Amino acid sequence: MKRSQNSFRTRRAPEEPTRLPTKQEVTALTADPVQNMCVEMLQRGLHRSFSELFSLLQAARTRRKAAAFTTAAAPLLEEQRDKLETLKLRLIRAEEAGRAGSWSDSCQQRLLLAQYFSSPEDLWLRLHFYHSCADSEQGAASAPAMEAQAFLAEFYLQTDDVEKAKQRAELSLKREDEGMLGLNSQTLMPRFSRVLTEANMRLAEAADDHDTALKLLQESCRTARKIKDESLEGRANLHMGRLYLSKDEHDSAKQLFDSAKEHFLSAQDAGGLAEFYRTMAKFSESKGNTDEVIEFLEKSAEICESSHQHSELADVSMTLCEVYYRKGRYDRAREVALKCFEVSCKAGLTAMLLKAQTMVGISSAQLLIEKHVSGGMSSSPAALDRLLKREKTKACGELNSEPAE
Amino acid sequence: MGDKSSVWGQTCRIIPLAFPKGQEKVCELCQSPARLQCATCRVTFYCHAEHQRTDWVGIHERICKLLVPVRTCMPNNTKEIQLKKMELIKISTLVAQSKLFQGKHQEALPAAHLCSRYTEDVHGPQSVQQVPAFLLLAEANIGLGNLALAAELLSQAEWVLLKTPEHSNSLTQQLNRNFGRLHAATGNLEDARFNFANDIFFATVEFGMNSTVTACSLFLMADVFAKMKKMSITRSMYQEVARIWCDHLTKLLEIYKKNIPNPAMLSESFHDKSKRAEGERMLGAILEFLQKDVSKDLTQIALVTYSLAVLRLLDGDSHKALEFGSAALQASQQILKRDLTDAIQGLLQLLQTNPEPPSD
Repeated sequence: MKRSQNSFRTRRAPEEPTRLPTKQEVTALTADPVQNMCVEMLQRGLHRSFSELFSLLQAARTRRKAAAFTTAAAPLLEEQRDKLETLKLRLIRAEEAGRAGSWSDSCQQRLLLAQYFSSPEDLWLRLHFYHSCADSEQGAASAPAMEAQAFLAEFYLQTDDVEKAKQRAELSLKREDEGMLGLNSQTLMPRFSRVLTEANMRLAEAADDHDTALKLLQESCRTARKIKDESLEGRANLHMGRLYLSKDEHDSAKQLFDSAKEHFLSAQDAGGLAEFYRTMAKFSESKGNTDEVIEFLEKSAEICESSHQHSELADVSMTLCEVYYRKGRYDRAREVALKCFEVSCKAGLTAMLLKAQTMVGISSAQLLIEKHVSGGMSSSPAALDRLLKREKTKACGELNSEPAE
Repeated sequence: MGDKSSVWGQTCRIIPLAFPKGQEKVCELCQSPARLQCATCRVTFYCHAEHQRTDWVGIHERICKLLVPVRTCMPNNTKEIQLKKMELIKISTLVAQSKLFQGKHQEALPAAHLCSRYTEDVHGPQSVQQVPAFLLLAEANIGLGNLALAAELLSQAEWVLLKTPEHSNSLTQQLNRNFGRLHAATGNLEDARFNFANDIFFATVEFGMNSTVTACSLFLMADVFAKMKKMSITRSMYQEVARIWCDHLTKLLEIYKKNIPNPAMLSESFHDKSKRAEGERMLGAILEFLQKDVSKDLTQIALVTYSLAVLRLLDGDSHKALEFGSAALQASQQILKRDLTDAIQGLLQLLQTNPEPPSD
């Protein structure tokens, strides 16, 4: 006790005076972390980064409010510290690069942010950064911007926003033609060409008049030829052939179909070949040649099976089943329907599965009826015996059956 | 005995000894013994003519008759009188703000003092409702160079807000702005940046990114960066300020065009006009910066001169509006992207075909 009292009395004052925290340090401890982040950005003069971060946080809150009743509430963006830190870091770098006139670096930061937000619930953020990278006023011709542009073109194609996909692809190809792009961006050109070809084919399918559709498909062919994509050129030829078929121009259609086959064989495109045979089946159907229809559909099914294209196989099988059924070949119809059912189960194609089930049922029923009808029509002793036995059984059945309620 | 002064209101002399002991009258502005009385309301007193003139210009012209019931009724804490006092608080706040928007710091003081006095009267001392008055007084005093007094007022305001956590973001924003101004005036640029950063943050939260309040916050911050010779940051912030004001003025111009057939609809409050005066000062400063800047950004020059042209048009100065408009057109025609050219040409056409708007 005495020792501690002495030590207390003789305790020296610290060598250096204690430094009081500044107002900024106190505020940093007491204020909201988002506020601190924003204030730090603004103190450094990075007002554009602040504005963008602020807008994104507001947008996240709005989205969360809108989704509150439909999905399980995901944490708010401002509650996810690691995402906020990454956003802050890259936005600051993007702004500083922009201010130094280094637009390619600025776009690169935005591209990195787009790639960082890879989870499904962050798709809106991903798209935001891909757009801000691709649509940057000053950096639009830079390699990162073109990469972003390629993603967006493919994304819009996947989500069936064909016009937007086409616009982006055309813009990028135009920039390339005008010599605005560097070497790094030129490796992306085949991607844009593929998107443009695909977009034109889909637009042609949806076109109201044949002339528009033809123009679009001719452009598709040209683009596919330019990038030496045999598969794509084959598909474009196939589409054009179908167009001529719908106009009853069979010769032109046949020529294009043959050309398509060559391209598919050259590209070893199993999917393309399967589609070719399906188209040929339709062609034969238009000529009323059912045997050829069956032949082509069987070929298509075989290719789909060997290349594990389950959805296409189910589709072809169902068509084939229907053709057999119409032809009265119920045994074959049943067999193909069972195959279709099997494949649909594997691929989880519920609607097709139910349809296949129905076809199995009615094909089996038809087979039974056929059997019985063919038995009844014959006058042989064995047939007569069977008929008598059947009638007797039927009569006993009526006697023994419980009275109806 | 009356003094003739139609511009500054009329006064009459008073004899201090004529008043009973304990009821001596003091000057409205400085609290020293009064020798003059406002001849209209007779409830306001001044030590000499200069203070009377200052008060008249500052606030008294607007509230002269309104003071009569408030200063004569006894008791003066009835509900009716309280409502009248709140009306006075509202008017004096708007007047003080308007004077400050126009950079008239000395003229803002009487209104700010009145606001403070009546707020204390109605809500009690050190109430959160008194904070706006403290802030107005602080801003006026910063403008006049009375930094110690301004610091004291701001500390008081800060203390009240700390005691009242549920106060609005607007008050926090204004407090930070004034602290920023104070630090900038004392040369403490680091603290000024911190406070202006908070000003921008709270202005954005409260008013949005495209508000003229936020624009003013950005302008003040840009000024600090200019003092630090960080010109690229200054340039970028000025760009944002110009964009916000241009968008705001474009909307006002649309309203103006719609109401040309109905001139009565074009009348605006004194407060709105004063706010525009603040915008004009900011845009004028930005234009000066751009004209001296090495980068000679013609797009920005076109944008700012166009905005100034619209401002002048809305204030009824067609001649100046035409001058700015022509300068804007000249600048816009030298740049590749001519997004603004149509708008400028539209404005010039409007100036040439329409008469000046009615003055209040």
